[in-house]
Amino acid sequence: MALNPRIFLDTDRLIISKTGVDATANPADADKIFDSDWAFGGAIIASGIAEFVWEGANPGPGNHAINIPALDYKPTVLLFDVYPPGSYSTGGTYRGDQMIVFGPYLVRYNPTSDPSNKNYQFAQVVGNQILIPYRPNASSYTVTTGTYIYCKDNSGSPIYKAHAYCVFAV
Amino acid sequence: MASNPRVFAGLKSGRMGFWVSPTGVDASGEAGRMVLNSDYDHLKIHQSGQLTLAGGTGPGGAYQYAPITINFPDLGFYPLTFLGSSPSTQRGLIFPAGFSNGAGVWGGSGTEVFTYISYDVFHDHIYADPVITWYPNMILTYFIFKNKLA
Repeated sequence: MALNPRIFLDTDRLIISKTGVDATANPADADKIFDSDWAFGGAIIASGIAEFVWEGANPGPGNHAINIPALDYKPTVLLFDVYPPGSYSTGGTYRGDQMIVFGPYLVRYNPTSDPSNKNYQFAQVVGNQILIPYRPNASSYTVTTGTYIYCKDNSGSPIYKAHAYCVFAV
Repeated sequence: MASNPRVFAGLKSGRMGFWVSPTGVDASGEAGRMVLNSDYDHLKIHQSGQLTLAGGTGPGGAYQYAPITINFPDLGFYPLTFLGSSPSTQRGLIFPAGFSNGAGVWGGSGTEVFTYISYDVFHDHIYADPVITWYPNMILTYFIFKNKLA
């Protein structure tokens, strides 16, 4: 039995096919492991957990920043609110060895004058930084979700916030 | 031969590696986004799957879901995970996982526009606390990656 070549390579194209599929015979996407014509090959520019000293309950305008490698394109970023492994509550309770994922980073708020008007504040990528706003970009507001703070020991201070992030090459 | 090689293996600025570029980008150069890039880590799926869940009786006619544990072979670190949900009447897959109990929007009476399902990540499993929704059933779709966050 002839073996199917699973790698097709020239200067313009690289295709890696699944077992039993001939990579040189223009296989369907579902039969490929990798194709250089795909938009995304899975490359991760940077990932991890970034910790910041909490800015306090009523901060002025500003951002926490996560530095990422300089790129000549604007990458796709996932950003989550988390407690790192081994964190404590501000009351001094140990939360355990797990990393707690609350959801995507966002701050939901409403203008003080209109409690039913729900607005969101998001992070953004500027240059080689992910900028994470301390607070809503509004003059008068009530934050309704989005503050997850913790301590690193049972002393109750200092207080931190953390974000898990993953920067994709796409 | 194409003027821009899109596949390059070898020495680039003093580092040995392998690069694959999209159309119009020189894989042997330093400029532009690469599809495959040995300078970086890549997403690697450790385990993926779907769970079909049914809610039990919850407060006020709502549905309460039992705690959820998804086990996977021990990675030795806290991995990157994707968890998405499909609440029954809402259709579609939501990522990150969550649901809407918003008043009048999806038939619920809650005040939250949208609630994300938080979960705990360990080296060998993820765990979610009980959630209460207005949806009698829910599908969770998950991906555990061999990529370290902590």
